[in-house]
This record gives sequence, C-alpha cells and structure tokens, in this order.
Amino acid sequence: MQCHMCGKELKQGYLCKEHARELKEALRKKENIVDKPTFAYHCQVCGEFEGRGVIVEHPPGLDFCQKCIEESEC
Amino acid sequence: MGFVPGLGSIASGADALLYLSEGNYKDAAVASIGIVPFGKVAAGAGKVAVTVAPELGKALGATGKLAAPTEKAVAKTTGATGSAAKNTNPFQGPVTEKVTVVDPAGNAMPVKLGQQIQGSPDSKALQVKDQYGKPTGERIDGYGHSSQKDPKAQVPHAHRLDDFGNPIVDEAGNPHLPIYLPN
Repeated sequence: MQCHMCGKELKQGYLCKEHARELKEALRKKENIVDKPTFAYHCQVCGEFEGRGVIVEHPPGLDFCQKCIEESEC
Repeated sequence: MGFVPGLGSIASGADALLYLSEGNYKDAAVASIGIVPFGKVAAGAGKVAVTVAPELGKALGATGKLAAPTEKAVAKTTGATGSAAKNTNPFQGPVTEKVTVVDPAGNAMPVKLGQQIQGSPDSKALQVKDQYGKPTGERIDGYGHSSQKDPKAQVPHAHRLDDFGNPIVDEAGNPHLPIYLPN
C-alpha cells in the first residue's frame, strides 16, 4: 500500500500519517471543501463522491472524501 | 519523459531537453512528465516525434494511450518557461496554447488553452483543471481505488474526455479506462 498523496510505502491504510494529519486539519478548517461533489471530484482513495461527506481538495488536484480522511490514522 | 518548451515542435534528442531542479510539488511532477506543444507528441520510440493534432483522438486512441511507448526518456527540466504572458507548462498554471502531457509510461493528457494540471508530486494522480479551477474530468488515477467493486476501478486507470468534453467509456460503458503502467 502507498500513500495516495505522496506514494510513501505503508503497512496499512492509504494515507501516511503526515498527510492524514494534513487532510484532517484541512477538513477541520474547512479548507478547499467541495460540498456537492460530482464524479469529477471522486475520492482518490475510495473512488466515491456521493454519500461520503464533503470532498477536500488538498493539495489542489487531489480529492479526498470526508470518510476516508476521518478513517485515516495519524 | 521530456519537458519540451513550447516552441512549436519537438526536440528530437535528449540533449535538447532542459533540466529542471526538483524539490517541490510542481517540479517533482514536471520532472517525471513530458510536456509537448499540442500538435506533436513524443512517441516514446527514441527520437521519433509523431504529429498528433488535429488527429489527437486517432493517435492516442480512446484510452489516451500513445501507440507505442517503447522507450522511456528521462525528464528533468530547469527553471520556469516562458514569461507571464506565455505559459506552456500546465503544472505552472493555465497554458496559453494547447499542450499534451505524457507521463513516463506513455499516457498522454491533452491540455487545452486556459487549462492546467494539478495532482500528486509523484505524478501518479493527475487531473486537468479548467480556467475556473474545476476538474474537467480528464484524470489519471494511478493509485486506483482498491475498495471499489469494479475491477477496472481498482487498478490504475484514467478518465478521458472526447473532443466535445463528454466522458469516454469502454465498450461496456465503463469510464475507468486502462493506462500504461510504469515498468
């Protein structure tokens, strides 16, 4: 498994601790939030865009859903 | 792959490539990706360049793959290209002319006037943004989505658009299109 943001090899999960922390912070601050995402914003990790909460665009060009961010460990 | 400045043609040799310093997201992404002015795409077959436009779709196929990426070029580029008025590097902002980005595996992403590319520093996840910063739908998901039921979505894939901006799907109607994988 690799971090879907930086490619770092992981034993488990899809986000390294550093980027999980970064995304949770962005979610907490509601930075670059996409409220009603379309398919074009589907999550890098799970590929979903509906029923997963908001999408966080962080950094620009990478989209992560609220559920995947909240489930990531940091 | 190589970064070829927007001079309207492909430089045919590696010695014609510029080299960029690495160290940040943009540079890291650019370093592994070739960018060529729209109209020609490095075919990956050594020093051959293939004219693409206006037959981009035909040359790239429905999946956006190049016909025969048989060789990887090393791409490192240095410094900014062009002035503020002219930009042919979609990683540095909206481009002022059409370009095609080619990743190390040979996957091409056409970028239209005013669009830009954003994504992960390792270039595995990239997407084209329009002039308003919204995704066009043209995207490479190099990590895949392993929790998806669809096997085609689980593996690295691309989402492509046709000339009219409509999603390209495979014969089964699936928008998760295959891509070349790095060796």
